[in-house]
Amino acid sequence: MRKLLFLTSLLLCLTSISWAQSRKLTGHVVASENGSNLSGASVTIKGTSKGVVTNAEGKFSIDIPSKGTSVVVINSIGYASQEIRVTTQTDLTVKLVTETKALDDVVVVGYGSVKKKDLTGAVGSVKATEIVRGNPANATQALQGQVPGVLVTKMSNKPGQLWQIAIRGENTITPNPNADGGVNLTYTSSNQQFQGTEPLVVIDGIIGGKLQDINPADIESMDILKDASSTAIYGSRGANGVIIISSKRGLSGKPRVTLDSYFGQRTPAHLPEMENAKEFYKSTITDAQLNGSTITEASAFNVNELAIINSGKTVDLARLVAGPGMNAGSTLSISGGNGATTYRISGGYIQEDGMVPLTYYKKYNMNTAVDSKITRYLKVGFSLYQNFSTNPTGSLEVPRTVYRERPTSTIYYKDLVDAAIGGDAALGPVNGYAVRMGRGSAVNPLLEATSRENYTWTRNVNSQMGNAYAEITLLEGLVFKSAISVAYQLAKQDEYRGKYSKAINVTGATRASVENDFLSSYTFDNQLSYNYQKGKSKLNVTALQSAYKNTNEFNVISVTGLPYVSYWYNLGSTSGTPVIGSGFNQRTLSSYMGRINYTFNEKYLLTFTGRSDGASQLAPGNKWAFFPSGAFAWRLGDEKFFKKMKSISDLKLRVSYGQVGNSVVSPYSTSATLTPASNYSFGQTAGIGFGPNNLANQDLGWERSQELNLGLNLGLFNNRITAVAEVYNRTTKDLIMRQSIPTTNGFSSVISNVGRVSNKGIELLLNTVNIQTKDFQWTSSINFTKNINKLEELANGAKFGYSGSNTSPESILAVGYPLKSFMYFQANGIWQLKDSVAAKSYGAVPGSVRIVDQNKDGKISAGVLGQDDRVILGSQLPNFTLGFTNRVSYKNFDLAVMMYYRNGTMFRNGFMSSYVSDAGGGARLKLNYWTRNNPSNEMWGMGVAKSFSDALYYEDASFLRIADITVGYNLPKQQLQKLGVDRLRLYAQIINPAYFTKFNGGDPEYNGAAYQDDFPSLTCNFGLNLSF
Amino acid sequence: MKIFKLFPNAAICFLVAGILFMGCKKSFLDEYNPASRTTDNMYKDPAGYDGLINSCYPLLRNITQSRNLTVKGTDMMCAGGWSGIFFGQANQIGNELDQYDIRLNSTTGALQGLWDDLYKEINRCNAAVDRADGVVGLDPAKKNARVGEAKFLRALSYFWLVQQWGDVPMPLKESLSGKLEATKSASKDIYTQIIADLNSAVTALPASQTDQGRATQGAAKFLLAKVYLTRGWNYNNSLGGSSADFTSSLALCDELIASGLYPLEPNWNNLWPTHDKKVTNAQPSIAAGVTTANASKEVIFAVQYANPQYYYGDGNTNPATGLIGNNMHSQFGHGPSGVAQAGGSTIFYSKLQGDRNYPTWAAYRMFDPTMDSRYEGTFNTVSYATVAQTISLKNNTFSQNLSITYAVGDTTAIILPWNRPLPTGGERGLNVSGGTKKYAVGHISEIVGYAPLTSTTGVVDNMFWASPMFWKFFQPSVPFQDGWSTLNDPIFRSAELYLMAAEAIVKGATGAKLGTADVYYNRVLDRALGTANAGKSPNRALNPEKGTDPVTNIMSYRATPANITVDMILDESAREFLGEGQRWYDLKRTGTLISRGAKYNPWMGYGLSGTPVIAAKHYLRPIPQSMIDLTLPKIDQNPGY
Repeated sequence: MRKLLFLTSLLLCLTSISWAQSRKLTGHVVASENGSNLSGASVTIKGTSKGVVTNAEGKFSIDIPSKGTSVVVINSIGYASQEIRVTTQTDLTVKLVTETKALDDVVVVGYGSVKKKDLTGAVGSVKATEIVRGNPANATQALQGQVPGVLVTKMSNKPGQLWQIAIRGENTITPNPNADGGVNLTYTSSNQQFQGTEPLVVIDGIIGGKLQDINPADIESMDILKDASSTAIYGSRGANGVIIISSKRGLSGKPRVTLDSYFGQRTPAHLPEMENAKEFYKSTITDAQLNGSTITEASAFNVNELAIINSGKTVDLARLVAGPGMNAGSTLSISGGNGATTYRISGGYIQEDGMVPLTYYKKYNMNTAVDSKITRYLKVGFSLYQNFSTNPTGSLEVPRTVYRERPTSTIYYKDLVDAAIGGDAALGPVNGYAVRMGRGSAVNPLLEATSRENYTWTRNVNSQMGNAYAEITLLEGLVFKSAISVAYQLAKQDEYRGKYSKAINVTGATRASVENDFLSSYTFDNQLSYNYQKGKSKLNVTALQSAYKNTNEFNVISVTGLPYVSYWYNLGSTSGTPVIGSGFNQRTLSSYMGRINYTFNEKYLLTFTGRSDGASQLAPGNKWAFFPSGAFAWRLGDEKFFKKMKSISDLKLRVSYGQVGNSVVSPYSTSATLTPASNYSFGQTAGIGFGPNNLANQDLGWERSQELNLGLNLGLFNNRITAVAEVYNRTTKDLIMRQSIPTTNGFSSVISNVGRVSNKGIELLLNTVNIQTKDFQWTSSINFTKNINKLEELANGAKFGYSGSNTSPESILAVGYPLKSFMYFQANGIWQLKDSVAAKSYGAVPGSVRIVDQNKDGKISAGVLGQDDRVILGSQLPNFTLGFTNRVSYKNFDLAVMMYYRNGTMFRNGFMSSYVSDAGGGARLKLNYWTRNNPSNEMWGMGVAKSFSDALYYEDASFLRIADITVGYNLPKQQLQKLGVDRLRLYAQIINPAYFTKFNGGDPEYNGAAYQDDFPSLTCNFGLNLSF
Repeated sequence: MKIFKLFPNAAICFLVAGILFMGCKKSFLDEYNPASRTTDNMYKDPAGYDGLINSCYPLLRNITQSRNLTVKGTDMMCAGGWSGIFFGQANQIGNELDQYDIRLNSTTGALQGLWDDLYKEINRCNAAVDRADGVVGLDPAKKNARVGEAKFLRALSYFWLVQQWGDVPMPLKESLSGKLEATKSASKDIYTQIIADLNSAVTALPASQTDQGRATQGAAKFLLAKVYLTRGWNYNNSLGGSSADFTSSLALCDELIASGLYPLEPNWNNLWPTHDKKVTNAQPSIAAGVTTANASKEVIFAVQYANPQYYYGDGNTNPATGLIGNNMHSQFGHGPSGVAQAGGSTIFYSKLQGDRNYPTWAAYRMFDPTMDSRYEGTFNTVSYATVAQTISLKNNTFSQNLSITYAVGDTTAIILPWNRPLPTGGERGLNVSGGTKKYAVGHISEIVGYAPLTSTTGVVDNMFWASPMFWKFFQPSVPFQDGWSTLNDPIFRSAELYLMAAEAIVKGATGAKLGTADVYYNRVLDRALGTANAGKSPNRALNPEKGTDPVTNIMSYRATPANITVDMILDESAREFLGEGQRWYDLKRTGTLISRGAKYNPWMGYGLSGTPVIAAKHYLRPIPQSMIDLTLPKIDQNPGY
């Protein structure tokens, strides 16, 4: 009955929209800069569904009410929207101004949007031009170095890599691989493990979308909510910050077609320099013998290797395996609208080839969005994203085997001097390759790399995201909006390891597996907002009710011993026993929220937000928590006394305080699960047992952060220079982590709310127009991020602890130091010959690593943390980062250069530690090794007895990267207009041309050690942007 | 005005949507967890409850493999390396568990491991007791028996705990939340609880179980007998015991002996895997090697290892990393001779690994090697080449510059027992000046701990054999190093009933069924002597602690009503149970840890720089440091630590 009533009233509304009398209004829309006609501009009458589009000459004609005042709204892409009040005019000339005025930009702030000048919180924005500047395959990459406070880090060199993202430092200890925006639980086959810092991603209202699933070319803007007051509206889901993606939407008018395409080549570059055969011989034999080693040529090298050494040749496996690949992308979109209905449809394709043969990432996107104002009171719309990607990454092992292999290995069978050595003769040539490389070592990586039959690993992802809404204007200013967002993803991972893979190693049983991961989620939002304006006061009130459910499922089948090369397509043919697994988890979140924005005289801005969240994975009784926040901004620059200062064009002070919660625990943490097995045998009878595996915490509650943010916006010289500064202090308490408990409980730990961590930071953004003349323009954008992370407290007053059960130097938790610190022995160069007596007292010898005796007890030892010789060496968290983008345009030419600098990150250098074998071992990174004749302080000596040699591997991974350089040319408008084309730009670009670092070996950004990785590369692209 | 008509309808929608979620707020936020086994969804039906009961057994493997606190630091076993003391060298440093010096403190690693495993076990048993009544559809008789198993295992765990640590926390309910508080219970209360648990287990448990290795009524009675015996001694007057406890203990021993369910094996060696000195002979398969031992009726309760498929350790389904097989064969010194090892170890002489435990030199002298079958059953005194090989004596102390070639099966070394004269001249091996034998000939009085020693007349070269191999638990055909033995570890066997009864009688128990204490004692001894020597008087060294005493200084260890003492019974239990994981408890119970330990264990006698430091406080172990760090309020450390 109610439904019927509702429908009836809707119908009544529709029919009530009729117009008694009307007249014609004509007009001409031109660009203010050069007076050219603007075709395709939309002309609508405010408050109605009526609209027309300008013709090729920029002319329009529209019916307007013959009586009263109408407001005509003119929109055209790239120009600021204009509203004109029409009372008696019959013909208008409208000059549209190019949209450059930053202050009037609309910033999306979550369940609403505000003009940039009205912002009260800390929000950063990235616009389309910056997003596609470097043609990233994943939009996350586009954020690197663009927004202060947002740390984006490469996770590997593999094609289609995910990027790690952290906003304002690390707030939690507990990694949450299933955070919003993160990857699903079982995607562990590669090193793409997120660390619980993943922000919430909202794509056109689709909450919990995935950045990698949207085509970067479809994005209009990315707005990043950083402080607690801004993210408060998203409650616990926004605890790590929020990224709001607004995709490009259609505008009413004639269909507009754009094509953005690029095509290029990725080439291996920046490869680590390894010792060649001669150098390898010198360090292995000559240097080691000089240092006193008894190693002999005969014990170190066989005849095959000696032949290579003596021939003067060398084997550079990396350059043999790594080869160039394609890099391409294309996006075609059509947008437009009729009257009050607008649409945009786009399709895209991205390809990124790996440097390892047969590896690539291909992604196909489709995006549809329709918005329709059905009546004056009802607006509906939807967005739909469909995405398919395929990502064969080949062998997980190839680059590692490549770097492990000595430069004295024989690659081709015909080059073997003695094929019997190492068993090559028995295996014969395989595709011409020497399987054991004349040494009897691991399988030749070229076999794995060049043939799918030897190793294939593929991840296919099919994802769909959608959002539909209906917005009803109930009263003037009172709007009800109901929206549902759904995300669904099916990821399928297949693997086949054939005979000549490293894992199977010729004789092992072949292996194949299939894994399916399903992920689905929905968010249902009901929102009521009310706008009220009286005099100088403006009030906006929003109330929201929201429900969220996220479900993960996986199943996997893995078999060994396949009779023939059937990949994973005939698992049933196995002679072994299949291993089968499946799993499920689900969590829900229920929320109620309220927000009040109050503006007085456009100068004093106030925001209050409160949100109540209930999370399923917390203990009953502690599921619900309330998180308040408030912010105040003062547009100081608009005060009369400031208006006199002509140089200051904008000045705003902001202060905000807020609390947010974080329920980082995985589902079911409050239930006591059982051990996988506590098996026994009763005689010969199986006694299958399941004992309690963990202790449930019946009191588990929210992690709670509180944050104070001070912000300053400054514009100078008519906003030619704009700056944003933020200072914040965030403390997170009740950290959810494993707490050690007395074992009389029957367990040694329980997940509890313990500890406190703080993040304090400064963020600066400076945009300048350095030179502006008629033909020449140079603008710069520089941003600076500094975050000081500190562990303030651990459970029971402990000063040190470990995250998880791992007690390696990198899992230390040290109060007073940042998370992700390293606690280990500190190296101070190499013991030199002149110090041999002192060295001996420490049980060391010249050529071994000199460790600082921190406690001066005359020996180097590990005992009680904090009292022995181990100290905090550094942290993986950076000291500061800088992003620097320069854009120059001259007439129709444009140039963009982006640089990124990260300072102060420390890693235990994975590449170095893996590829600096001592005499007699595998391949060796080219470094300045100590010898009796070379008093190097950089690297220990060959053949010298050493302890703590790994202290040298803790290296500063600061780097400066020239991320990309792009040169473009816009074809002249006059010529294009004759062809009916609005814009045609051609460009050439180079991505990752160079980086500078003192970090040895691998990429300093992510500390790659070559396992499950690809070779580094640079990319050259040619591209075009076309629209008509 | 149409707007206002619309408003109520939309408001209704909003409210309905809101109410929808408000109304089902509870169920919406309830977790849905169909994939996981949890304590709440599994332990509610009979099958799931069986899983819980079964999970109470595998930890016995971890617990009994914590030998550092039960085998080392006793009169008969130590951590080895005592050659320096034997030869009177200065500044010797051994294991703190033997020396009982300041290094034996709350941070000693061995303490934490055993403590944690015992409380983990107790928590599971508590869960099994607590949850029994909530299981739907469980047959009452079966439930009773299952609860009996849990109570038996709980009693066993508390018995071990209270013996090692004295007053300890005594949780009797399943942990449902993490508690920082852990209050100690008095030892006498813990004994009361143990006895209560065992009495109800005796009532609930069947006399026999279809599943071998499940707790039985016999096992519960055995344990109860031992608990009474221990309480009777009433350590430090803290256990609430009285002399009546000895009578209770004796009655239970008699009852079990009379039941006929647990007859002594006629041949002591039947209790252990098939041993064959001649390693080149066809070896039985792994399973066949322990068939007799694992089927022995003498065993009242054993930790099970017989089926290798269920070796997986607790909480681990990975057969590669989770194996908790029997490691008894690899944890006791010494290995075979250098010659046998020189050609590479074989499956026949599996090597030592992990925490080594070595017999003290007194242990060898406790036996009569001539007539006591337990000597050759415990120690292997001859080794054979397992591969054909040639060894060089070029760098030998005696510069003989010889090469010796062995064929498979040739003797490579022998070690003569303490009661044989020292070999001389041509009787020695070629490695010794004047020797003529192609194999090393050593003597127990020359044994050097475990390392070759160059400054004495010891057997020093690559023919050396440090000392006889402790091979009681050695299982043929178990692969080198990573092999796991399938011998069930017999932690209760009926031979001990006789010795417990004898001890109880010596301590004043009345009502013995078989006669005086010596009758019980000699039953055990005669079985060891075998039918050929039954009734004869075997001799041990009069002063086993004196390694160089003349071989004529001997005494008989046959008991008579006149000579039987607790010390004599402890000697016999040393011979009978050497290495079987109960020695520390025997010495603690009888209050002889200091007297016998300092006398027979070279490290305990050596203490710090030659002066024993073992003191009364060492009858209790220090509470592990993590307990003191993590409890709130802090739990008290045991006195003296």
